Amino acid sequence: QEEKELTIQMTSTWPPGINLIDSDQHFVDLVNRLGEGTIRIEFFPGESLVPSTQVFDAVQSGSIQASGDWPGYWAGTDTAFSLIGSFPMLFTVPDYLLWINHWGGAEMFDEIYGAHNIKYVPYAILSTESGLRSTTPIRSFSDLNGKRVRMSGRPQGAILSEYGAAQVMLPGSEVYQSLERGVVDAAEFSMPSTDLGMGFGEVTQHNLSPGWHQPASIGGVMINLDVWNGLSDKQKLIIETAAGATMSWAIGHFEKTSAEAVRAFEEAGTTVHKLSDEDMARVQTVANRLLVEESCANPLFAKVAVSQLGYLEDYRGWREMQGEFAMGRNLSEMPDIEAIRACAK
Amino acid sequence: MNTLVKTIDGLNTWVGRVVGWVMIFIMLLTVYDVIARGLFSAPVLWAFDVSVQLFALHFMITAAYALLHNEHVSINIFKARLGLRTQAALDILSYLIFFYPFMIMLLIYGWDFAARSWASRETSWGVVALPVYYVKTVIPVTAVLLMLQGLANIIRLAEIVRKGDAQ
Amino acid sequence: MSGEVITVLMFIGLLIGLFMGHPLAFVLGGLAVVFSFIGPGPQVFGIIINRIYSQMDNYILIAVPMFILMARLLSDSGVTDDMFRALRLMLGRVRGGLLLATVAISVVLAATTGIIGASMTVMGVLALPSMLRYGYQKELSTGIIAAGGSLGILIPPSIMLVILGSYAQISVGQLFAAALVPGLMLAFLYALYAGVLTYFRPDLGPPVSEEELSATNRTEITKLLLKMAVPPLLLIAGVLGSIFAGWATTTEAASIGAFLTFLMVIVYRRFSWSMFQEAVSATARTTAMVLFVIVGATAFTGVFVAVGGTRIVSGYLEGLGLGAWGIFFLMMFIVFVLGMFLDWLGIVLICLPIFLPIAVEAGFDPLWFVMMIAIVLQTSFLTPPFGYALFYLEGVAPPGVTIGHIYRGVVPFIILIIFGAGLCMVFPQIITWLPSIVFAR
Ligand code: NA
Ligand code: NA
Repeated sequence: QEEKELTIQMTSTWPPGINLIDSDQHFVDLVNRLGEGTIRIEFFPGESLVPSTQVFDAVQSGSIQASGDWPGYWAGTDTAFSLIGSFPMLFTVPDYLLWINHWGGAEMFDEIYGAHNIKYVPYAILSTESGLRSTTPIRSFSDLNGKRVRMSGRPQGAILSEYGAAQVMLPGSEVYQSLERGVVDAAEFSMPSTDLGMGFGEVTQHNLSPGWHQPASIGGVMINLDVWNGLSDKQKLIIETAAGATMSWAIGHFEKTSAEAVRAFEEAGTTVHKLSDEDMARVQTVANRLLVEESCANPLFAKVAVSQLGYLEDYRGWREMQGEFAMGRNLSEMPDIEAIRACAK
Repeated sequence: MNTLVKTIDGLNTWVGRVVGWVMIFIMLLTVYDVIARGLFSAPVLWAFDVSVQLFALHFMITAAYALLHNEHVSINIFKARLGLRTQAALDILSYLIFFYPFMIMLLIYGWDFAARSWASRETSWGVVALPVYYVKTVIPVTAVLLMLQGLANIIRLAEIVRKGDAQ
Repeated sequence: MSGEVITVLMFIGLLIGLFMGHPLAFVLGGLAVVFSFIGPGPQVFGIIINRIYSQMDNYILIAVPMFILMARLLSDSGVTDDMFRALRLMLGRVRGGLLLATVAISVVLAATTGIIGASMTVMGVLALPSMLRYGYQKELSTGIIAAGGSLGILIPPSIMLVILGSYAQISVGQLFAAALVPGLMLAFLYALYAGVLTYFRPDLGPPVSEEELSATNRTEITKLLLKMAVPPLLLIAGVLGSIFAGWATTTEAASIGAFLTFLMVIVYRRFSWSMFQEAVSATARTTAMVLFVIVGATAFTGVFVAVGGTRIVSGYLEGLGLGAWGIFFLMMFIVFVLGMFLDWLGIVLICLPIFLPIAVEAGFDPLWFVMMIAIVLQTSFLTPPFGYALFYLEGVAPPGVTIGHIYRGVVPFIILIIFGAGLCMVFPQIITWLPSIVFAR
C-alpha cells in the first residue's frame, strides 16, 4: 500500500557543544536514509527550540513529537528513571544491553515512560564515566569531606552526603569556570571525550577513577505515545532498526573517542587516582542500601530493581564461571533482593 | 466598576509589596550559605534549589504589580502625538490584540503544565528533592493576576474614551 | 503560510505593536500566540510554556534583582548624591571639571551596580543644574551625562552582561572581565573629549567659582571624599574581586554586594524602614519588568525557531556572499539600527539567538563577538527616537534645556562609541586581554 511520508519533529537534551548529541544525530541520519518516502525526522539540536530540562514535558504533552534524552534527568518525576538511566555501582554496558533485549528491560522502559504517555526507544549505551575531576588531589572517599562537588543524580547526591560532601547543581556552561575558580572543588560531567571537549583538561589536574556514580548510561528517544501509536508497522520497524544499529555504533564511538581523550588528558598532565578496593566495597554497600531504601519508597522503582537484580541473579552462575572473562563486572555483594521483593508486593 | 478597579489595584499592590521581600530572604540565605561554606565547610544543601524557586515566584507574581505601576518598558513617543481619547482607544486595542491572547495562553497551557507536575508529584532531581509543582503553579496564578490588572487598566482607559479630553 | 512570510510578518507585527505603545513584553508574547495559530499550530504553546519555565529555573538570573537592589539602596538612601558633591569639589578647579566629575561618578556608579535609570536620574538632578549655573554648554553637559550614565550597562557588574552570559552560554565572570577594559576605555574617551574641548574652549566649561571652593578647605574635601567614595569603591572591589578570584558565583557575589550596600546605608545613618520598603518594592517592579521582557522574548523566539525563522535569516545573510567580515559589519549595523527603536534587552533577546551561531560559524571568538554587540548597544541609549538616556534626561532636565539640546549633545558621543568599537575590532586584545589574565583562557 502507498504511504505518505510522515515528518516527525525531534529535539534532544544535548546542545551541539556536547558530543553526546552524536548518537542522536546518527539515529536521525539512519532513520532519514532508511525511511525515505516513509518517515522523516526534522531534528532541532538541544536548547534551540525546547530547553534541555523541559524536553520530557514537551514530549509528554505532544508539544514536540520526540526528543533524545538521558532517562536519569527525569528522576524528579519518578525515581524509577534513575534505574533505567544509570544507578551507582549497578549496571554496566553489557548488563543494560542484555537486560533490555533479553531479560525484560524493554518492557520496563515501556511501563515507566508509558505512564507519562511516552514510548521509549533506547539507542545508546555509554560506558563508565570519567569520575571526579578536581584541582586538588582527591584520592579516596575520605578526601571528599567538606568538599563541594558538581554531580548529577539523586542517589549520587545521597552517596556524596554519606561522605560529607555537598552536591552542587551547576549549568554546563558554568562548570569549567567554577572548577578553575574553586567555586566547586570537584566535578563530573560525562565520558572522557565529553569532558575533554568542555575543557576540563585545562582546569583540573586530578581524576578520581572509576566513575562509580555512573557505571553505564542509557540514551535514546522519547516519542509521544499518541504519535507512536499512529505509526505504521513499517515506520515503527524503521525506527527500531535504526535505534538498534545506532546502539552498537554508539558503544564503539564513545569508547574510541574516550580512549583518545584519556591520552589527551594524560598529555595535559592529568593524574589518575584509583579508588582503593576498600573504598569501592564501601560505596557498593552504600549503593545497595540506597537501592533497598528507594525500593521501599516507590513500588515502581522496586519492580524495576527486582527485574534488574533478577537478571543479575539469573545470569550469575554462567557469568561467574567465566570469572574475569565475563561480560562486565560481577557484584561482590548482592543487594538484599528478598527485602525488595517483600516491598514490591 | 470603581470598586472593582480599586480592589484589583489594592490586591496587586499588596501582593507586590509582600512578595518583594522574598528577594531579601534570598539575599540573606545566600550570604549565610557563603559564610557557612567558607568558614565552617558546612554549606546549606538546599540553598541553591530554594533560591531558584523563590526567585521564580518573586518576578512572576509581581509582574501585575509592575503593570499597575506602568513599569513595563514601552515606546510612547509616537502615541504621545495623539489625543488622549485616541491614545486610550489605542491602548485598549493593544490589550485585546497582544495582552489577552498571551495571558489566556499562559493561563490554559500553564495550568496543564502545572497539572502534569502535580500528577507525578514532581520534585527537583538532586538529593534535596524539593517539590516543583508549587513553582509551576505560579504560571497560571501570574496569568490571573495580570489579567485582573489588565481589566482594571482597561476600565480606566474606557473611562477616558467615554469622557474624552475634558477629563 | 510559508516560513519566509511568517518571519517577515513577525517583525512587522513587532514594529506595529511597539509603535502602538504597548509594553514590549506583552507585544512579544502576544505575537508569539497569534503567529503560532497562523503558522505551526497551537501545539507550540506547550513549548512556549517550557521555555518560560526554564527562565524561572535560571540560577544565573538571580544576580539581576540583587544588582537592582544595590542600585536602589545606593540612590534611595542618598549615598550617590554625596559621592557627587565630594567629587565636584575636588575637580572644581579644572576647566570642564564638572564634566570630568560626571564621567568619574558615572564610572563609580556603573561599577557598583549598573542600573541606567538610577545613575542617570542622579546625574540629571545633581550635575546638570550646577553645570548650567556655571555656564557649561547645554549640549556638552547633557551629552556627557547621557553617555556616562549609559556606561552602567557595560562596566561590570551589569545585568546586561548577566543576561548575555546566560543566553550565549558564556561564563558571566568572563564577560565581566572582558567588559571592564572597553568600558573604562569609553569613559576615558568621553573624558578626553570633554577635557580637550574645554581646554581650548573654556567658555564651554569654566571652572567652579572661587567662593564655593574656598568655602570648603582641602582637608574637608579629602575627608568627605574618603567618607563617601572609599566604601563604594571597596564594595566594587569586593563584588568584582570575589567573582574574579573565584570565591563566589556571580549570583552569590551580587547577593553579598546587596547585603554590604544595606550595611553601608545603615553605617551612613541613611536607613529608614519606609526607604527600605520602597527600595524592596521598586526592586520587585524593575525585576518583574526585566524578566517579563525575557518571558515575552523567549515565547517570541520559540515560535520564530519553530517556523524555521533562524534558518531563513541566517540562510539569507549567508546568501548575500559578504564573507565573514561583511556579515559581521551587517550584524553590527543591524544592532545599531535596532538600537534606535528598541531597548538593549529586546535587541539582545531577539538578535543573539540568530547572530551568535552565524558568528561562531564564521570563525569569530564568541566572547569577543558578544562584547562587540555589548559595546555597540551603548549607542541604543543615545540614538533617537527611542533612547533611555534621552527619556531620562528629558524627564529631569531643568527649564531651558530642550530635547533639541539633548539630541545635538549626544551626537559626538555616539561617534565616540563607534570609534571605540572600531578600536576593539582592530585591537581585539582590548576585550580579550583581561579575561586571558584572569581566567587563563
Ligand atoms: Na555596571
Ligand atoms: Na536608541
